[in-house]
Amino acid sequence: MRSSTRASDTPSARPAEPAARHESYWGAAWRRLCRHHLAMVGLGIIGAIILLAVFAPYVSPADPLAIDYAHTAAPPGAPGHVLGTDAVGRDILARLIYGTRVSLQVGIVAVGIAATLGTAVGLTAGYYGGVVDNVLMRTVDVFLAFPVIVLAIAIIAVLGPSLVNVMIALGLVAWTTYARVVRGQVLILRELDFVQAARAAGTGDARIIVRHILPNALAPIIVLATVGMAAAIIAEAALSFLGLGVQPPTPSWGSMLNEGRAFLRTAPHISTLPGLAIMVTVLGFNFLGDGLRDALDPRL
Amino acid sequence: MGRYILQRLLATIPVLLGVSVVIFLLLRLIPGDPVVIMIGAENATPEEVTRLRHVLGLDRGLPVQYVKFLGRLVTGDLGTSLSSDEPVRQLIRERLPATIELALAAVVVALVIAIPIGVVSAVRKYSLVDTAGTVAAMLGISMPNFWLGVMLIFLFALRLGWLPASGRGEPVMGGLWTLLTSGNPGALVTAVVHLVLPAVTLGAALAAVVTRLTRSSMLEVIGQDYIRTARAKGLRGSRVVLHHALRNALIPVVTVIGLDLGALLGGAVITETIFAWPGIGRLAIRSIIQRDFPVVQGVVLMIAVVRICANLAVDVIYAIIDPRIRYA
Repeated sequence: MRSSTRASDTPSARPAEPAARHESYWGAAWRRLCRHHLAMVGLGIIGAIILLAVFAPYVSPADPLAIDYAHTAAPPGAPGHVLGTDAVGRDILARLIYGTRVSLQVGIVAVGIAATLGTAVGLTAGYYGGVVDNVLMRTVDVFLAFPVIVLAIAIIAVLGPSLVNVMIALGLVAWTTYARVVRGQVLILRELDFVQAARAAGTGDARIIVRHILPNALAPIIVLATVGMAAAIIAEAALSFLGLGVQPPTPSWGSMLNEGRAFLRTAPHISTLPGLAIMVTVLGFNFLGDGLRDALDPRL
Repeated sequence: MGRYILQRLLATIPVLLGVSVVIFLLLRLIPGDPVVIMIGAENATPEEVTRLRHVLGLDRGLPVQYVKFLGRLVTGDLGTSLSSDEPVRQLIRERLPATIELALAAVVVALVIAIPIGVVSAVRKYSLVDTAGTVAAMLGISMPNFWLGVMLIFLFALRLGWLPASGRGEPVMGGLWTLLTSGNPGALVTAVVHLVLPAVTLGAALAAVVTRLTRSSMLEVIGQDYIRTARAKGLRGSRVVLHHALRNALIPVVTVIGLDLGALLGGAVITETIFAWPGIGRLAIRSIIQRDFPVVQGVVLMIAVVRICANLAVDVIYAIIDPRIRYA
């Protein structure tokens, strides 16, 4: 199923052999991914967004919270403000750049929570089966009964609106997909010879799950996590748009869009630009997700 | 088949119970004293806190509270709104028709856009329509619907002035009734113009999904033997596509719409807020801001139950249509 090529058996610094005879599973997948044009576009977009987020203080033309009283709701191209200013005179480009931090932070933490929780549940349910499986999967059914955004809103209603609570809420609503998919993988994997062999050799359950089953269930988890980033970024923007997410004055694309609604007639760019930023970012993750799906497992 | 449907019905019961537990715990998991949070620290006189705690049943043990909660739920009692003192059931009942109307209109918008594009994309694969449809679908899936809503308001309400930016006219059915009984189309026109923008906003993402699905489903069906037979009989191309292929290709489309109903109601929460549409979504958001937890509970429960019923209906209809479906 999956073969790996360790660089060499000698300690000397011999360069890794070209993948002539045994190309690793991940190497082959990477090669397939590189041939997927849209995936590369997606990777480019995501790379750019990450760079903007990391180097925001260096690339941003202004302080995202600084107010320019002389230029409020200035259109794109106004002196000193490439993309204009918002209703209180803050530089929109600067706010968009700093907004990448919120989107990526929420995406990474929410997906991290969801993937970890969902994978753990899926591994446990699939490996042990029986009553454990039944209880866990009925719990999944219960969570699936709530539309993602509705459950997230309900959790925020309880916890109160804040950046951290958005991450928690989105993580708690998205784990079910991982649980279902991972469980399905485990049901297949646990019957395979190499797992049976490990069991016959007296390997403990925990070790079998972590060392033998999990690595072989990684491909769909990676695909789900990539598409999940797109979903989490949209959901964060939606919550912030509704006033239930990141609180002002922190720049979040969703709340920027909402703040612009009142000035739609006179300054439509205030709402338009953050929407475009969300769309491009989400498109990037969706493109990469599609490419990864094809590259990692054509059966998905 | 009967056995399968019965099993499927029985399997719904634990899920419904689970949903009730989640809804029940939502209010109890509030960090700190939920009563103080609800009425605000400034209003929290000891008498008021004690009174509310008693009204909400929070002065008993958790299991007792849950059994009472469930007992009331079964009789359709969803509690009382803290801000208006009206029964939650009544608040929801007043607003549910508006949400259903919006959701149905969104499904209509999605089907009207998606099915023709999906069919043409499949029949004329790699044509201009196919490529444009693919790109549009990708954008539709990646576009946040609240942004689409705001942009539609900007263009069609503020710039062009063709459609109203918010609110709801008469119910469409009411407008239709006026037209049929008195011959006056005014109410129906008002109803429809108010419905267009919210319906497009809510239906766009579904349209994107259905376009892709119709395309792939049609491609699969077109390749089958009975289609070749129909063509070999000398039937006209359009007849084969519409009468023979589309009919079967639509089965997965209907399924996805049934399963997507829950997500549609979730989207309605946002769409209703943008367009000031007087449905249960707007009620939910307003209740959260007012910390009116019984109403939030009621709406969330309502949406979950609708979704469970929709999934159940899809499964049962499927079992009737396709006799191969059984529990393993």
